[in-house]
Amino acid sequence: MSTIKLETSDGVKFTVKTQVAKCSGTIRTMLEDIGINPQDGEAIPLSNVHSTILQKILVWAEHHVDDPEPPREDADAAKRTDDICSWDEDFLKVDQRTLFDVMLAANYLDMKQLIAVCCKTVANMIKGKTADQIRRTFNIENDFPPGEEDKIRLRNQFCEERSR
Amino acid sequence: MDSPCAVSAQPESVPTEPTQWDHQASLPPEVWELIFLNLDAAALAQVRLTCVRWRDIVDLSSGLAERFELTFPKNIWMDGRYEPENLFLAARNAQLEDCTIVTVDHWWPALARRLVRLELVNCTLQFPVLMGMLREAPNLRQLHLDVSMPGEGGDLGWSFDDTLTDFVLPRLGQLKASFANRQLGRICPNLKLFGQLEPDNALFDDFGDMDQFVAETQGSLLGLVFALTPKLVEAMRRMDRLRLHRVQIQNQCEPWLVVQLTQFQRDLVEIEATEAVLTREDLCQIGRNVPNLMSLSVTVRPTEEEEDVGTPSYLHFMPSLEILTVHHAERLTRIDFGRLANPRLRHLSLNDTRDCVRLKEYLGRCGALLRLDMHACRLASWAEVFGAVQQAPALLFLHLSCIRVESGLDCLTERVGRLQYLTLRACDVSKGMLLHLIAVCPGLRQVQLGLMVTVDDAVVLALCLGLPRLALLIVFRCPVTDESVGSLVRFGGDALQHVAIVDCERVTAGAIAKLGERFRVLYGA
Repeated sequence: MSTIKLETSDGVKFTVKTQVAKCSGTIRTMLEDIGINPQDGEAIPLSNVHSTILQKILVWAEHHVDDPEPPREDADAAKRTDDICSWDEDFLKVDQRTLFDVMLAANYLDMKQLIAVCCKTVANMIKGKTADQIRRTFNIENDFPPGEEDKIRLRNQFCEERSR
Repeated sequence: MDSPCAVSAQPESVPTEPTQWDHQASLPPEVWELIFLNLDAAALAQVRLTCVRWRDIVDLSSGLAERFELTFPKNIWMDGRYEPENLFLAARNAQLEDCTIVTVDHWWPALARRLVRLELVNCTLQFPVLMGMLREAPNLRQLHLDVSMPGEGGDLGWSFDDTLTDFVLPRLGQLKASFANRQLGRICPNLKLFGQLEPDNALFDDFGDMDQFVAETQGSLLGLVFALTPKLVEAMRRMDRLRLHRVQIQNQCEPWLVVQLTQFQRDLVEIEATEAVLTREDLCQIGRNVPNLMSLSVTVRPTEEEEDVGTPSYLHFMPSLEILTVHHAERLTRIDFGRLANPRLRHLSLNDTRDCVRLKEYLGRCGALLRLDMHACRLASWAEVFGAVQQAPALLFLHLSCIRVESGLDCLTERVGRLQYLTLRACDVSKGMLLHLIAVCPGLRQVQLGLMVTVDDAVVLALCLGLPRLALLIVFRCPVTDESVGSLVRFGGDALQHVAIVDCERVTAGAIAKLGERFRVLYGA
């Protein structure tokens, strides 16, 4: 079984099945398009990813390596967020900082399915909350000028049939 | 569940603690945008209020902007001092309701530039102000103008002046408006569809200069939703570039006006005129005038000599017909399909009919029929409908409401395996008939039952056990109990995903909650 080596920002080297590593669009491109030769034994440097996060991401990639290509989502309507599989749900039960680090790394590594499931997880942390509750959840400072509130509502235009 | 040690990756040296790593507290804007794409409008509105950075991410996202509509607060007086707060400038759709618009000059242009759809609902403003607003919105494709414009020619001294319309909205394809005149027509050079927004019959006379509006837009106009008046028909007769495809006549006009319209608008493919009451003879003439008619929705009455509408002989002149909706002006008219055939008919809707003579033979000859709707009909027996349904080779949808039958004796001998969508609402159907129906229609995917005392727990159980492909079930105001919920949860097939039990008094809230654990529960059905 072919393997390659990856080196994280903190200098840790991982030996990974090539097939698992190719869950990352970034690594796939490096191997296939740029032609980095894994036989050389050289580690591919992932200078934006810490070893603790890469280890976690590799667990996810190992579990999902045989997943079929996801169907193309309808870009129009707001997506469902209640369809996260229970394995992923457990996998993402981590503190917020780790979750964000996983997302940053997944974004850097171009792992669309992992990003999607993380995005749904974060979206679920926003849903049903007021702006104030959201600020507390994510530790965000309210930097609007005092007294400003949204008087203009947004509404999902697809809630209503309004053509013709 | 896999444990992390099952992974093939093995670090070759001990990782250092990530605390030294430059941890960014938050994510880059493009990742936040991906997150926000999972949210609905209510959640997104809260996100925009959270902080400046998040508001900007939402406002700069074109993917989000297209999906949401900006709704201004109601009853706003918009003058020079009005400043909308936290305005979602990226919006492509905006609605203003019950507003009085004096001027919007200082904030409007930045928003209007990107707007694709604008709705003014019950707004008050002067025509020059309206034109000033539209001038800033060159990308509009859809426009809804429900406005009142007081003060014309009065002390305020404004008028429908041609100098106000020195611009055009080149992309505007759909316009609905509570007025129409030459000036409005001039700014819509590519208008495809115009709808008059004044369903109140009495006010159509007041509608402005509809004839001049149509004359201005005749080169591009394809569809009209309007009131047909003698003056307008006369004007349209002289418009040599007018080629309408679709008309929806909203007023109770004289039937001959509809016939006249078809004499010179021969490209029509769709006519809806349910308010104007036509005779068979009128419809025969219409059929001869417009040979390509594909969709017809009309109210028919017998002439003085006739007792009944009898045979809808006009169908003979409509060989291209795909959609037919017939209402009868005098309730419970007998209809005899004789030897008629409409081989292209896809959708038939029969209303206020007493007997449907030879419907079975007719449907047998309508080889393309997908959908049959019947409403407020009185029939000799169910065999009249279901016998016909068995004959229709392509029928998938059957919607029946308010059907009375005189004889309870019913028979369905063959299976109707292809029927997939069934609605029964306020119909005289015995329980035995319902159970029988479930047995002979095993292919049903969506079933809606409402307002029927015979729909009880036994029927729901039969639905669960007898319909393996059932994906959606709605039960509305029927005497089912919590037992039905139990049956659905226990015996509902794998395909069953959407369930709604609405306004059924004997079903407890606890049971509804239980339903929600197993199915995606539909509300407001």
